Amino acid sequence: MNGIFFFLVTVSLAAMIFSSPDDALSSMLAGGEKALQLTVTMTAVYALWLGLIKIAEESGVIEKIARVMKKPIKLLFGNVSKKAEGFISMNLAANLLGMGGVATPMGIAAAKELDETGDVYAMNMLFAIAATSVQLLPTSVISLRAEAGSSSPGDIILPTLIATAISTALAAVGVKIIAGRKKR
Amino acid sequence: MKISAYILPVLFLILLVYARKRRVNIYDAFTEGAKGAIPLAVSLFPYLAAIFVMTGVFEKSGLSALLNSALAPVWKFLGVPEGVGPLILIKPFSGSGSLAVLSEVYAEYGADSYVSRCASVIFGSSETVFYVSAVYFSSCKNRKLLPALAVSLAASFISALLACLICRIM
Repeated sequence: MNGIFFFLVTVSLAAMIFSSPDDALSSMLAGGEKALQLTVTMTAVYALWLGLIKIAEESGVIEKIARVMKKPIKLLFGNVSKKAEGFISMNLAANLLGMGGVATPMGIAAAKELDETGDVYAMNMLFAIAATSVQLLPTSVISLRAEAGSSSPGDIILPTLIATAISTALAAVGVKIIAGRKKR
Repeated sequence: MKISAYILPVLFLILLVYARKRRVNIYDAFTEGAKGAIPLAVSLFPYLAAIFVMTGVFEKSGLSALLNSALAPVWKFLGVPEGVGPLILIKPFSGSGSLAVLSEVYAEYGADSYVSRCASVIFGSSETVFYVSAVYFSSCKNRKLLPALAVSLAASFISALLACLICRIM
């Protein structure tokens, strides 16, 4: 990330010196503002979901979900703690249903849990699976297409499903190959 | 009506009733959990700021547009229709940015065109990779996530190319 940030920002700034130096500061500040807006939104999202998660945790729901997903998670992530297993399974379930807002706090909780145990391989796997998104129903795309006047907005569901399954499978296999060997 | 609209409220209801049955102190548990929101958001903000500043100057400088025109022949070679290329590039960085590109594609080519269908599939099947990296792992000490980043970008790219192929057949 260090390299990417340095490269993109320096090159962009250098280009702006020639084209539009007035826009440099404003575009960067606009970026910071967007970040703050999203942070505020996320705080509300976190508060709601972390609250509900705590309720789910204390009533034993998380444990139950984790039990169902145990086998596939073990296959992908190796041996992880019970708590991490719970968060991962709920993150996967939420992503599958296209509830990104739910998936994110679960993913963060899972990442934190894995981080504490220092399980770099499992963190990489979590990253790869979350970053290639396994979504069953691309609801936002369908509604956007319908709005743009499509006659059959849903005809992209199957192709999307195929594409997302391929990308997730590729990513999971890739992490297994690259990071799997370094496992303790 | 939309079934998906019912999923969340129904889940919430089930959860609350179930928790009540298990004699969980719902109010206390909720506030205990919600307490974690502020520190989480605080640890999130600096990374979001960095990413948005980065994408902000990159777009405003005209470099992202320049990059797109420079890459046009590459997209042609890979079988990606013109207009979809920018989406493939911006998707890993910005959800709102790619949403903007997607709606522009719809407006320019019509929602039922091949180009628009490609764009739809790519948009729906991929994720903002850098956003995930910033949000999920902002509070982690371990930072050896380069393999996952590289693998995710590569996998998204390959599936984007495949998406264009799939849309040709289906």
